[in-house]
Amino acid sequence: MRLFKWEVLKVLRDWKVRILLVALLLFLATYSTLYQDRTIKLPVEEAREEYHETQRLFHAIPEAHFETEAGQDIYDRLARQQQILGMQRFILSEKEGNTVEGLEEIVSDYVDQGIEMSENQLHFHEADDFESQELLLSFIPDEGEIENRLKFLNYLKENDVAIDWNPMSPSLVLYSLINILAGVFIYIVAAVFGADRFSRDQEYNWSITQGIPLTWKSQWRMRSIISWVLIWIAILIGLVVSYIINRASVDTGTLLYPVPLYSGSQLEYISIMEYTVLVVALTMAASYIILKVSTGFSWMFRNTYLTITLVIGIFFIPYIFTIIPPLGSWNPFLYLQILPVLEGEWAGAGRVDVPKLLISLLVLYMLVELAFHFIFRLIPTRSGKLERRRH
Amino acid sequence: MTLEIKDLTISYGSHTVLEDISFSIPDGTIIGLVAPNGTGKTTLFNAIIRFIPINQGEIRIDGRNFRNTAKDVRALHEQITFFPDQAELYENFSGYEHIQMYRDIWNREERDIDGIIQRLNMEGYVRNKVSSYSLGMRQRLCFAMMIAADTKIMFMDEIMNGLDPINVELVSRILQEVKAEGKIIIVASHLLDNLDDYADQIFFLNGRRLAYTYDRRKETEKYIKATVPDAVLQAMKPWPEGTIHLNGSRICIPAAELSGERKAALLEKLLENGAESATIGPLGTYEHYLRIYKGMES
Repeated sequence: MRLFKWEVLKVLRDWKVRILLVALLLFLATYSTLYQDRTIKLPVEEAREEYHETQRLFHAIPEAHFETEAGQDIYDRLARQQQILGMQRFILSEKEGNTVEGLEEIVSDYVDQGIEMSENQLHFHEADDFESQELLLSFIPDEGEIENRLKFLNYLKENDVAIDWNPMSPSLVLYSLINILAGVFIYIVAAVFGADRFSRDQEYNWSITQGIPLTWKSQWRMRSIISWVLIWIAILIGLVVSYIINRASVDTGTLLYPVPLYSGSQLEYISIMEYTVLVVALTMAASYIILKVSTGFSWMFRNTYLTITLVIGIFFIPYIFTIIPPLGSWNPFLYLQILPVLEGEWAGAGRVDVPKLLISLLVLYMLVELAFHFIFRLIPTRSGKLERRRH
Repeated sequence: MTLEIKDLTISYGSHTVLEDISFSIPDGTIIGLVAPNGTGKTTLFNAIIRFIPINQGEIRIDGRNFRNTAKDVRALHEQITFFPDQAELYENFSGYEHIQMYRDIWNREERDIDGIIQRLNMEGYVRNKVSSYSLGMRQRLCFAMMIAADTKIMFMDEIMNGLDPINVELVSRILQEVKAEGKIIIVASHLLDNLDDYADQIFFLNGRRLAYTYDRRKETEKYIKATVPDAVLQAMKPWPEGTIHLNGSRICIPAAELSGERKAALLEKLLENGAESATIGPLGTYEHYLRIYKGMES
């Protein structure tokens, strides 16, 4: 602790760090504003498209195929789909929630209707005796997607959450921002912050910092944690400010809104709030490891560009396993990227889930500790700086 | 406490910089380390504090051998500080903060920073940012940082660089005060006459080895010393037996056997023949330096 205060002061007085922290804060805080400038597709438009698609489906299927008993059933269900879509368009366009006040009896409830639609679609998949089943199925999602849609709607029903007509609602913008944060973005931030944590001292303040009674390893840990805390203070403030700014201008959406999470064998739906806490916690853990690597590299290489390149390169390691097999779900390098795990992209490698992600981060942390334990012991770093008196 | 160096050898590839260096320094001693540029003074410091790997030898403090392990190196750095390079101070920190930082790092809460600042006449500038300091101010700050770190052993490399005569005198005085606290201080300096003001022993490095050491307190034999043009010295021959002739123009005449009249006559003769000054005293660091690095005639 005797050095901690001074290391913090050194970092805080570094203009590069100040500018980076402010830039990070500004980017995140204004993300909602920037995001809203983008062209997006409203759910009501999607419902409208689906409505027209169902209409086309009616015309595409030969009328004779509706004459059988199974055909008649499909016809009724398709007609009901069309009717529901019409009502859903109306509900979404009214922007009131799952129902329209005063018209509950007429247009019913968005979620109940959605569940009915999904059940109808599942029925279409089972209607093997319908002659145009192949044509019919080409217009509707596969069973997996329908199951997920059902889970989504059931979540809305169980938690009494209204369908969000606005894809730019504060909670959905937050969801999008969290996903950006957990990707290559955090690697870039960690790489840039850590890249000169040692090299700067080695270049400009070597004789002040060399020879102090603290091991390089202790200093490495200290400098990593300081950068990590500063980065996360900026990020968390940025996220909160972004959400507040968006909330001030848009009053739709809720943090209880469901978003998908791959649980190792199937998709589950959790609230945006739970998702945010989970992903932020995982990103915090991953970013600490990345920062330790970039800070350690800055001690080894003293070249910020090389350090940044190498650290960002680590992000792309999991892509190797799209070419060569990852040899099972316990490969810790699979978990260097958080989002593909949460989205189930590695499902082919076995059960890839959050508990394994946590264990893998722990393994990666220990690998980094072990590697740098030897690096700090074995590399004769001092030989590069023999000419102490440069001036 | 004793700092003991045994058979220290430093090589860079096939080039040996220092070979079989051994010495022992007791508590409360100031050592002047003297050598021409590039002879290995800073390398010797770097090796003892284990900033560079050593090929052979031992570094012992109070009998404990400090090996090249993280634990030993950390423990060594608790005991030794190395004079910082004034060009490597943090420009956006104040002098006061630098002193506080060194005090905190070496855990010397009891060290009175204001007292150090006062002793070194730094009150006028110490709270300003270092970027506004002159060379002399920076040098005094580096010295103050060492005092604040308050380690048992201090390596002072080129400590007097950029200091005016008043501050050289001030720092010399404080060095003696610090020595009185029982510290071991090694000062590498080219201000040879100044070393004679405070150093107890002088170490001369030459040809990769510790070529000569002498204890100023034991050096009692008196000489008449003067610098006169070589041609004049030749014309003034013969000189008394035992006269040392250094670097062409420096002459040291043994004074022990000479009567008072003879000494006065010789002094007068030297001054008449162009010597700017002629003094009587033991051989100093300057004379030994000339003898070791420039050669000697007797």
